[in-house]
Amino acid sequence: MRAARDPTGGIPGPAAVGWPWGVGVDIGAVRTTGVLVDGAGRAEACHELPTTAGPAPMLEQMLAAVVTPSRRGHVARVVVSTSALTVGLDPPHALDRVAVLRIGAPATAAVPPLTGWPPELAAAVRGPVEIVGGGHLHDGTPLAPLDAAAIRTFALRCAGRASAVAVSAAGGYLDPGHEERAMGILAEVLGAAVPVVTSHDLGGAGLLERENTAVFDAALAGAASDCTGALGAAVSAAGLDADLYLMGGAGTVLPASRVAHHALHTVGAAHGSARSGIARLLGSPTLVVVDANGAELLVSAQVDGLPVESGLLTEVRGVRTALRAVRVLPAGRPSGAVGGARWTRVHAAVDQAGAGLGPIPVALVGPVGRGPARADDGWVRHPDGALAAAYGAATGEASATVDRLFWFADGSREECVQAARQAARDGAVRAGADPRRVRVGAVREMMLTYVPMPCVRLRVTATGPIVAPTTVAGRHR
Amino acid sequence: MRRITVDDVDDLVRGAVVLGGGGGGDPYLARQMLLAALERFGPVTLVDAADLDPASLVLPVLSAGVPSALVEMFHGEHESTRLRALFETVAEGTCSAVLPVQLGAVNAVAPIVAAAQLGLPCLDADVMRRCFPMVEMTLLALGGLSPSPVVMVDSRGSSVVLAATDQATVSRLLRSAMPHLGLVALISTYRLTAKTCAELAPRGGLTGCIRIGRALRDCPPGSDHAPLLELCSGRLLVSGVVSEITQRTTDGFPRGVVSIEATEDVPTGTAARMVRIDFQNENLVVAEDGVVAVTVPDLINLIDVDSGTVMQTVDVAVGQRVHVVAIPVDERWHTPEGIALVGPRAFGLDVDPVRVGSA
Repeated sequence: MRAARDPTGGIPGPAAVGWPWGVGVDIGAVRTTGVLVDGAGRAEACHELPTTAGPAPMLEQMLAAVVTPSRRGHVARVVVSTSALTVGLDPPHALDRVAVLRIGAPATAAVPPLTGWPPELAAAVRGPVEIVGGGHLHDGTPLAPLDAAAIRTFALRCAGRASAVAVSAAGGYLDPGHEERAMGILAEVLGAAVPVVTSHDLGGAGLLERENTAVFDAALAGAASDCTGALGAAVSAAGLDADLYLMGGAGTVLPASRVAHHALHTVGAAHGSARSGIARLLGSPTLVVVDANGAELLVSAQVDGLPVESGLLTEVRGVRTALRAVRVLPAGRPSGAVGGARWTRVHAAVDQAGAGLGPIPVALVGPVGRGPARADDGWVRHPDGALAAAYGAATGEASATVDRLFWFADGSREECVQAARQAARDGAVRAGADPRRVRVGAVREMMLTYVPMPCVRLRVTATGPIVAPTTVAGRHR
Repeated sequence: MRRITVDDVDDLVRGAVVLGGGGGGDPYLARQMLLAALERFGPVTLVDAADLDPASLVLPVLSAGVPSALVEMFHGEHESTRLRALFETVAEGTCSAVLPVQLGAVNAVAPIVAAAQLGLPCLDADVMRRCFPMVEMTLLALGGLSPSPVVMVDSRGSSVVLAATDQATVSRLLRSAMPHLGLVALISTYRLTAKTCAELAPRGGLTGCIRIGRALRDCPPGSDHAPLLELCSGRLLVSGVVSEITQRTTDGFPRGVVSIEATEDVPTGTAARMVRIDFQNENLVVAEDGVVAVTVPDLINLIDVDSGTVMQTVDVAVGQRVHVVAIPVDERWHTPEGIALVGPRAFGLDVDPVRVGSA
């Protein structure tokens, strides 16, 4: 694999001081690829295997292949892209029974939790459900006092009847306090063996969407914990003292301990990893990607390192979640027929993905030998395009997006902008980013309707390379 | 006897979004509210005003609120009961049915939900024929009725009764109360008997939404939406790609512009047509290359070409391919009095009204 460009966006590379190395592994349905990168994002080793076993054995094999014993001490992070955490979403719905606690009475009772869920999914996950007093208004004041007694009673009702609890509060995305207190009560009563999934950092405005996301995450938490535990064991078995992260659909990472409770983060990871990986390989943070890795061609775009979103929220099995959807256009199955009907659809998808972005590169990723045969379409084929997903994982960054309303009672508009930037920065750090290297993107003002008073909806994303363990950084200060 | 059942939910909400004209609130929440109410209370009976005791009052129901607040703190179970009790006290009468006021996703649903909770029938009628943002923008006001007294309740036990002799003051009082109610309230406004309702409120509002929703179902994604346009006597004005969306808050109200590059049906070598849509809460004016093509009070909608989704304008994204569709609204809005109340200048836009099909 050739030397790659600096993935840190021009920030002076710390390779000279021995910044930690990382391994990225993309475990696909058919093939598993892996890349070892050094501190400046240069590939030091790579490998490909057919996928013949579950994610943990595949990870162990891949780590043995790309990390020679002499290099084990260099590796501080392992980043995995896998869809294994969400297999329970499909029949036969291996989902745990979930208790659902909503904090928002006396409001919100008109739409109970799990309203409109497909019957077979609801039947699989529905455990005890309760709406209790509490929550916050738009201006941060409490809607009602938190009904701790009712939460305790509910917790006792859950014992033995639910494998996990999903907690969502009205206004939770503005103030996590009530969800966190509820989590404390539930943990006290139910013990550490019952995961409690809060929803306050799962998205912006939309209680039902955050609640649905938390229910899915809670229902998948058992399987997700088993999977991340096995992956962590594989890392140790490979002789590595490294932190484990998992890739998500936006092409960014989350620490394994958090992914155990937020399995939906991993939806779309394969394509997300491929997109961010090829962008870094080419040194083009703005581009269109044609991904031939899967059964169907997928086309999406990235602008300044951030995926272009569809503006819609992700629907999972017919249930609306809080996950912002990357705009991914399916474009049929690749075939070798040059200029055939299948390519019209692909080129239309490429045009659409890049609409409004001007002339930008179009990159093709996927196994060598697949993809369009014609050479005159101007598409870019990096020689390591088949490893784009693994490289994307190896160089994956942590990010957080803030999308919320600010009322001018909060302060002047400029103070609101600064508050949004800080919240995004803090979120990126919680997701694993190095606080010294977090980049905060442009703050976008989103549109509002029917507002009778000064307020603004601000959206901003902060991203940064994964934090290095302090022992390594300290050694080279 | 017509009833609204769970099987009508998707069609009704989908059709109501069209009447929202780019606004009208979050369709997902509206769908969930209606589904939950019908699952809990069973089907809701639809009636005409002529079927009711003429001397009885009707209960107009409106969900007022900022969509971003409503999706967090949507209504509880008891607002409709408290609203009815307070309204009947203030209006000194008994309500025999619920009256929809505004048609858009949230407010086509809110009155049906209230009817379900109260065990009352719901009138298959409304008094705006689409979504307008102010309580004085109704055919009732056009007919000489005052919105006063306005009764507002929130989920937490607060209630407000307000009245004024002029409609602008009513609106300002209403808006001033909203922040103290958490920006979400259930409202009744206009005191009218079933007899007056039969005279002033056009019939068929809710069943009309269902028919529009069904016609939309018959429009495959990527099509030119002929079934919808035929049903509503509408026109597909132009199709193109959204190139820019801006919004600014000047006089306290957000004013937005969507810019679209219309590339379809343009001869090669010619520049794309530039289409501009001015909106506030709903879409207000469409102009092509600087020439006004359609304005409010007629309905202007943006429809996503690939999915066929009728868009809330605030959700439109740069790069999205959209159809711009215009649908004529009730004739009464096109009278001089109607235009004074809901024409472009009523929204602060200094252009003459242009009707669908006249440009």
